[in-house]
Amino acid sequence: MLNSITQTLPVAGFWFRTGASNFVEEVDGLYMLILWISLAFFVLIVGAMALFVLKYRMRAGHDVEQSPSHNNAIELTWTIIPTLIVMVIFVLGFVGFLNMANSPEDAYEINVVANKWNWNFVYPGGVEDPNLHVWKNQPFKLVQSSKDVIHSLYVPAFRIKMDCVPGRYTYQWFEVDRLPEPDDADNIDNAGRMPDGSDAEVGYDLFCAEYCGTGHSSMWAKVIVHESKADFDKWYDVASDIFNDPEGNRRPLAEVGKELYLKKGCIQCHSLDGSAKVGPSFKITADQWGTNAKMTTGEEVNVDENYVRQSILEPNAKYRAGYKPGMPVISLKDTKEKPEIDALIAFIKSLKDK
Amino acid sequence: MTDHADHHPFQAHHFDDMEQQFDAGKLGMWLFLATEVLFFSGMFVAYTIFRVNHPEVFVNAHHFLDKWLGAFNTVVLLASSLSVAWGVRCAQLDSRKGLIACLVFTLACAGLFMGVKAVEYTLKFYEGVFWAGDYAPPAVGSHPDLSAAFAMVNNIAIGTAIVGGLFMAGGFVSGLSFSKLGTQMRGWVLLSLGVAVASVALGIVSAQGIQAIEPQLEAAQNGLKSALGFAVETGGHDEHGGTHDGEHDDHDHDKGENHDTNKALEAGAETAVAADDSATLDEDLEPFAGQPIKVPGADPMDPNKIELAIPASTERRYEGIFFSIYYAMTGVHALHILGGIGVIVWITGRSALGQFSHAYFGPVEYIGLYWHLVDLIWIFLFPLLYLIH
Amino acid sequence: MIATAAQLQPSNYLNCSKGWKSWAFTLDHKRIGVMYLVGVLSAFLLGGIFAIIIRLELLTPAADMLGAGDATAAKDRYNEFFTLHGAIMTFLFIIPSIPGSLGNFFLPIMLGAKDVAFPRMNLMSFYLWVGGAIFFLSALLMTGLDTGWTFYTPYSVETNAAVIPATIGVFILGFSSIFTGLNFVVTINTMRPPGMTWFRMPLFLWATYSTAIIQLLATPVIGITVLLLLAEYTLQIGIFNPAYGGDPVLYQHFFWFYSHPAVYIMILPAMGIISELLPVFCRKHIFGYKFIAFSSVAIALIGFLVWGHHMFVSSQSKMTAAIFSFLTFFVAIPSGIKVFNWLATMYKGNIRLATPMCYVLSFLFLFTIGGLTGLPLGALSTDRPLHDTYFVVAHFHYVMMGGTLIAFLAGIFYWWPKMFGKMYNEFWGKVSAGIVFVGFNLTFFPMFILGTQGQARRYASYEPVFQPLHITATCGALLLGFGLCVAAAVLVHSLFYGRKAPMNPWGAATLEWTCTSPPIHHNFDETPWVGDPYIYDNLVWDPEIEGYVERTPSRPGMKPLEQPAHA
Repeated sequence: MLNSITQTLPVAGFWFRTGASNFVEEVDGLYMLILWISLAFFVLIVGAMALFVLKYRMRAGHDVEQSPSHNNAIELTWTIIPTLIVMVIFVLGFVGFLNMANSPEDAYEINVVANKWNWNFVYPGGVEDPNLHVWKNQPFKLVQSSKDVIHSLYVPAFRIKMDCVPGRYTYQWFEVDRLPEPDDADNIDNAGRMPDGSDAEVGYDLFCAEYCGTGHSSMWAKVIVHESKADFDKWYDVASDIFNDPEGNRRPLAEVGKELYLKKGCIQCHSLDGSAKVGPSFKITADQWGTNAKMTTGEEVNVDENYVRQSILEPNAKYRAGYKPGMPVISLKDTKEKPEIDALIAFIKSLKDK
Repeated sequence: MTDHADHHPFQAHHFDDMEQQFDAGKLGMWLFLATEVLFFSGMFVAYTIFRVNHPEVFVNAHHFLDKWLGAFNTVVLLASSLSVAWGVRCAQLDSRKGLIACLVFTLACAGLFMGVKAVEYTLKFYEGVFWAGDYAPPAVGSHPDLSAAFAMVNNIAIGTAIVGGLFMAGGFVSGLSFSKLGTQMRGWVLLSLGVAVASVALGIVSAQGIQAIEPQLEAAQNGLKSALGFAVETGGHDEHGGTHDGEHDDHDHDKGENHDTNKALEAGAETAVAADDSATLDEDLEPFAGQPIKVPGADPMDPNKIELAIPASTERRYEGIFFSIYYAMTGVHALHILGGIGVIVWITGRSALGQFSHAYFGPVEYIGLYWHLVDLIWIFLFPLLYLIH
Repeated sequence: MIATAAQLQPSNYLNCSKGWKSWAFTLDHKRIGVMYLVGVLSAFLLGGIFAIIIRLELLTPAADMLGAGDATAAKDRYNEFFTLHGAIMTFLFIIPSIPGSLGNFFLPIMLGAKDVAFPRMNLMSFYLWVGGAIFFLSALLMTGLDTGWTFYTPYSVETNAAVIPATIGVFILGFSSIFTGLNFVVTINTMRPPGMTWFRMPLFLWATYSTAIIQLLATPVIGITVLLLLAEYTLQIGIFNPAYGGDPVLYQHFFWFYSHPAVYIMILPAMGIISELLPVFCRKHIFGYKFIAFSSVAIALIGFLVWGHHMFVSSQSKMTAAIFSFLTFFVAIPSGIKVFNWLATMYKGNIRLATPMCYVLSFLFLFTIGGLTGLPLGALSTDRPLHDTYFVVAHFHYVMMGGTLIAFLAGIFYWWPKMFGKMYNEFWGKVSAGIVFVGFNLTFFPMFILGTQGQARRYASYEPVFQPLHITATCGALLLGFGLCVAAAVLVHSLFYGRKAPMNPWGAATLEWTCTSPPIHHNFDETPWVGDPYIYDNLVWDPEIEGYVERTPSRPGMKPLEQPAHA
C-alpha cells in the first residue's frame, strides 16, 4: 500500500530529495500517508472554523442558537477515531524502524569515527577516507563512534540518521539502489567544493545533524556510490597506498602530505593562506620555520620537525599564544614504512614563501 | 468564618480561618517534600544505572566507607526524628518547655551527624578518595599517613566546640533578662545554634571513638552472625583510621602494574553488555593528568587491540564514579541537614516566645515533616552506599 | 442601566499604594503578576532580537555577517546567538510566561480567593526569576554560551563557554517555577470559596492546575540534573562524561525527563486561555467542559512518559524506542479532543471577532499544524530523516510560538482592560493579529520543507540550494517582529490614550469580571457568588458603557453554599 502511495504522489519530490536507498519507499510512503491524513484533519478543522466564523459571526439580527453543551457519544467518537489512526501510524512507523534497526548479516561493515569536525571512514582493510565509499545493491553497516562530543551521521537521500556517541558504538545500515547524478540537488552545493576544498565529487550529501560546535555546519562529506564491487575495489587499491600513484610510482612526500591534510580533516582548523581558524595556519607555521614561536605559557619554542611532530602526537602539550587547546589526536602512522607524519611535515615546509 | 479564629495573631489576611491556613501550609509542605523526593530521585536513578552496569565496582568501592560510622549516624537521625515528632506533640499539648527541649535535642543530633560526616569526608580527602575527576585512592596494601587528616579533624572539633560554646554563652547572657520577649528569642536562638555547632565537635569525638572500637564491633557482629548461623564475612571491613591491615582480597587486581588481564577483560565485557543498544568503547579513556581537554588517544577501530589495551585502572574509573555519586548524594543530603538546622533554630526561638499552641502549631509540624524526609532519605542512602553486598 | 457602585470607586490595586517599595515588596498577587508580565515580555524582546540576528545571518549560505567576513568567528557568534535565543525563550520567557503573569494575576480572582496561599513565596518566585535572569545575562556577557539550550554532554563540559552561570541560572529558575506551581496547587485545593466546586472552576484554572502539577513533579529533576552538570563541569564527577566512564545519553534522559513535560508547562496554560476565551466570544457555553478539563490532566500525566522520543537516534534500545513512540501518540489524543471541543463550541454560536478572538482563531490554525506535524516525528521510521532538522524546528515553533505565544497574546488582549482599566484600539489590535499570523507562517512554514529536504538544525552555513527558503523565512521573521511591535504599540498606546474600560467589556461570566477594572486591592468587596462560569444568558450589552451588565442584579438559583469548599 505504501509503495503505491509513494509512486502515485508526485508531491514527494517537493518534500524530499531524490531517494537512493532501500528505506526511501518506506519512509516517504509513511510520510505521505501521514501528510494526507493530516491534510484531511487540517481541512476539516480549519474549514469548520472558517465556516463557523462566516455563518455564526455576530451581526445585527443574529443571535446564539440553542445547542447542547456536551455529548458523550460525539466525544467518544473523536477520541476513538484519532486513537485508531495514530495506532496505525505507530505500527507502520515501528515496522519500518525494525527494518532500519536490524542489519542483514551479509552487510559490509565500515567504521565511522566522528570528531570535531570531520568524518573518518575506516574500511576493513585499514584504509581511511573522509568520504563514504559504497557500491550499489549491497547492504552496508556503519559502526559509529566519536572521539570527542556527540555527532550524528545523516544522509538525507538515504533517509537515515544515527548519533555517534563518545564511549559507545552505534549502528545503522543501508543499501543504495541508485547512482547519484550530477544534477541531483545534492551536487549543487557549496560552489562545488568539498569541506576540504577539493572539487566536489558526484555523491550524496552526508551531514552532521547533532550540534557539535564551531565547525558543525561544515562537517559534511559525500557518499560516493560505485557501480559495482569491482569499481569499489579499484578505488580501494588506489586509496590504500597514498604514497604511490595509481601507476605504482612513488609520489613526492609533500604531495602525500597535502592529501593527508585534506583527508584527515586538518583543514577544518588550519588554513593554508595565513588566516586564523580554530588553530594556527600552516602557512604561519611554515613562515616561522626555524624561528622561535611563543606558546600560551609564555615559553618560546623553536618551530621545527620535533615541534610539529609533538603537536600531532600530543596536540595539547604545547599550543601557541592566542589559541585554545582542543585539537583531537589525529591517527597518523609514524612507522618506518609509512611515515605519514614526515609527509605532513614536508607539506607544511613546502608552504614557506620561496 | 468563626470569631475566635479571626483574632488569632498569626492568621494571614487572605485565609478564612486558622484551619484553612493550617491545611494550606500542610499541603504546601507535602508538595514541597514531593519535589524533594524527585530531586533526590535523579541521583538514585544515576546510582541504580551505574550499579546495574558495574555491580562489582560498587561492591569493591563501598569498602572505603565506614559502615559503623554510617550506622551511628542512622541511629542519631532516627533519634532526632523521634524528638521532632515529640516536639509537635508538645506543641499540641501547649507544653512550651517540652517543645524547646525536643527541638534542642533534634539540633544536637543534627550537629552530631554533621560531625561524623566531617570525619568521613576529611579522611577520604586526605586519602585521595575523591570524585571521578580527582580520584587517586591509595595503592592497595599501602598505609597512607593520615596524621594530617586527624590533625585537621581535631582542629575542626576544637573550632566548633569554641564557636558553639561562644554561641551558647551568648545565649545565656541575652537570655538572662527574661523580662523582654525579644531578648528571650535571641537568647534561645543563640543557645540552640550553639548546641548544634558544639555537637559537631561531639560528633567528631564520637566518630573517632567508634573507629577505635571497630575491631571489637566487627568481632561482635561476626560472633552474632555465626551464633545465628550466617556465613561470616571476611575482609569486608573498612579501612579508616589507618587500619589497612589484612585488606582486601577484592582490590588485589588493582595492585601496581600487575594487571589482572582476566579481570580487566571481564570488566570490558561487563561494560559492553551494559550499554543500551550498543557496546561501550573500551578504549582507554583515562584522564590525562593536568590536561584540560579529555581526548582519548587510542585507536578505537581495532577491537582486538583495544581489549588488550584495557588497563586494570578501568575499574578504578568506575570506582571514581561511585564516589562521585557518594559525594553528590551525601553532600546534597548534608546541605538539607544544614538548612534544617537553620529553620529549627528559628522555630526554637519562636517556641521560646510561646507562639505555638494547640491553636497554632503549623510551623512545628511542617519542619517536623521536612526533618522526617531528610531522615528517610538517609535511611535509603545508608544501605545503598555503606552496606552493598 | 446604572454603573455599579464599585465602578465609581477610585481605589484599585494600582493606585492603592505608591512608591517603588510598594511594588518591590508587594505581596499582592496582581502586582506580582504585572511585574512578571513586564519581566517575561522583556525576556521575549531579548530572545526575539537574537532570533532576528540568527535569521539575518541565514540570509546567505556562508557564515559571514556575524564575523564580519571571518567564517570561524561568525560560526562561533551564531552558535552563541542560537543558544541564548533558545535558553532565554525557554527558561526566561515561555515557561514562566502565562503562569507567572496571567496565572498569578487571575488565578486567585477567578477562583474567588483574596490571594494565593503563600504570597511571600509568590514574591520570592518572581525574585528568583530575576536572579535566574541575571545569571543568564552574565553568561551572555561573559564568554558567551555556545552549548545549545540543551547543554548536551560531553560538549557542555568541554567548552570554554560560560556554562557555570547558565546552569546556576537554570537551577534558580527551577525554584521560581516550583514555587509558582506549589502556590497554584495549594490555592486551588484549599482556598476555593463557598460554591466553587471543582467543576465550576473556569477551564483556565484546570489548565494551570495541571501545569502546576508538572512544574512540581518535573522541575526538581532538572534541578538535580543541572547541579550534577555543574559538578561535572567544575569537578569532573564523571557521571555524564565518557572520559571518566560516564554516560552522555544518561544526561539526555535526565534532561528530557524535565524538558519534555516542560513543553506541556508551556502549552497547557495556553490551551486554558483558549478554553476561556472561545465561549465568551461565541456567547455560548463551552462544549464538553469535563472532557477539556480532564484532557488537561491527561496531558499532564502522559506528558511524563514520552521524553524518550527526543532520543530516537541516540542509540536507544529498540524496545525503549517503541514504547516511547507508542506513548507519544497517546499524548496527541487529549490535544485533539480539546481542538474538537473548541470547534463544537463555535458551532451555532454568535461569534464576535474582537482582537482576542482573532488571536484565538490564529491559534487554532497554527496549533493544528503544529500538532499534526508532530505525527511524522513520533513515528519511528519517519523520524529518522526528520530528527534534528528544520522540520523539528518548524514543528515546535508552530506549537510553542504559534500555540503558546499567540494564546498568550490573546490572553493579554482579553484581560488587558481588567488588568489596567483601559480599552485599546480594536482596529489596530486586529491588524496586529493579522500581521503576526502572516509573518509567522512565512517564517516557519518554509522550515518544514527545509527540514524534509535535509537542512539540519543549528547550521551557521548551509547549501546554496536552500537559500530561497531561508530568505523567505527571514523576511517572515522581520514581518513577524513588526507585527509584534504593532501589538505592543496598541497596548502601550491604550495605557495613555485608551478609553476607560467597563467592568465587563466582553460579557464573560467568570469571577474576575465581577471585579472593578482594574480590581481593588483585595479583589472582592463581598465574597462573590459562584455560578456556572460559561452561562451568558444573564449578561446583556449596554451601549452606554460599551460593556456587558447583568440583566438582574444577582443570578437566580445560585445561592452560595453554607460550607467553604475546602472543608
